[in-house]
Amino acid sequence: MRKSKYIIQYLSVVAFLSFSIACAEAPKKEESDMEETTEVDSTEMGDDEAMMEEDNSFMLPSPIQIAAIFNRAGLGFQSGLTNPIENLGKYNTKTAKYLNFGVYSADLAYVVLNEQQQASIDYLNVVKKLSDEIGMPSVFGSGRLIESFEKNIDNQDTVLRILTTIKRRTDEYLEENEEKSKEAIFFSAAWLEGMYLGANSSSDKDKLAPRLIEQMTILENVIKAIKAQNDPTLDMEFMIKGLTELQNTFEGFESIKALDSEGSTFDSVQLTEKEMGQLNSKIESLRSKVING
Amino acid sequence: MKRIIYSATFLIITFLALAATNSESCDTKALKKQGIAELNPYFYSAAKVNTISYDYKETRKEIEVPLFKGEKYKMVFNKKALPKDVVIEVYDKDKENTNRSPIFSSADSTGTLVTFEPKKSKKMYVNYVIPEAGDVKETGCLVFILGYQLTFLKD
Repeated sequence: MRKSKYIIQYLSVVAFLSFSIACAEAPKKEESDMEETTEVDSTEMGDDEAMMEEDNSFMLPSPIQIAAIFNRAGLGFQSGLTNPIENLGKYNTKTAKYLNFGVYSADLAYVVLNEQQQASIDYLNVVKKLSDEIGMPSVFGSGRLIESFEKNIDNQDTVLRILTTIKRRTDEYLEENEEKSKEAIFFSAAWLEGMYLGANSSSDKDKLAPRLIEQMTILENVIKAIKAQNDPTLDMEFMIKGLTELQNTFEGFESIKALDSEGSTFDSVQLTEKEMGQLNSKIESLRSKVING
Repeated sequence: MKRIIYSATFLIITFLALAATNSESCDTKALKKQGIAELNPYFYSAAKVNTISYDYKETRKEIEVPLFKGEKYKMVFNKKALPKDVVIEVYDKDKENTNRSPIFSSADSTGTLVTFEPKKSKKMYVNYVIPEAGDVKETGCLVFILGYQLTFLKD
């Protein structure tokens, strides 16, 4: 009788353990899928309907590549456009640090592509400082990356490969620490800074405008990605609001509304000076909020 | 009674071993590293890791990939951590579009690393065609690396 009691207790423990593991595994899979793919919100569906529904997700491009695209379109260097390094001291909140990590990353790519050597070193150091403050010291490691950057400052290919390494390590850090959704925060601010530099430069507007319009096509996904991040200690409401206003302004332009017909592309779109001014005003206003901490 | 105890113990050990094997096979860092090695001379742009769950019927996952006009890209897919092959298809339009055209399919390619270099750059839609599971539900992971080329570089 006593033996049977032990057996029953043993089997109860086995059953409980099995149940606990099974229950713990199922949501884990869903969570990781959400984080890794930045899934788009979908309406609630029954099991069978969910099976029929295909998953949606998207990829965010590299901010370095966006800077390179603008550079190739003729975006030259203009002193005083980037976020001043002195502003670093203003960033005391977690939100300000995260966003300006993105802003300074875009500025770094801009000065590197325009072969501004001292500015490149200065901005790299600012990005490193913010990376450490955010809690990502592994991105820059022991300091060899900075040494290599300074040593190869006159070799643009090597310097750009170092920037790519920083981007890859940032992605790895976020993935390993289950913070992949924060990529959208860095990216949104880097994207905004890139758009600001492109829109405010005195370079050939006819060449730059189509590239700016092209970038607007990814804004919808940028907004979705920020909304999907789930850290309650980050205040992204003003960013979501500002980017949504920018998106609505763009979509309200007559030339963009006319694109609804099948087969139309952004290649043929030409915004008027007034429309470009309206876009620029929204970009400047939001960027000002970001860089002022 | 002893037989019941042995059976229960065997079942739980098997269950734990299977769980451990699954998490080991999705070593995303190693899978990404293998994929990035295939990029050269392209620059790393972004990576996406998707958990692939095989269900009772064929399912699909779609990823929107922004490719900008005039740029050159390379897509690398690492399928090493998949228990069952997944066909990768690339389309010019999203799944809602009935007249979309396929640009690429991995159906005929062998090996676990699949690469694709689009001839024209515009927004593309990568589809993972996940076959039905069969008797046992399985999971794996698929790593997608995107690379781009900086053609204007001055050395």
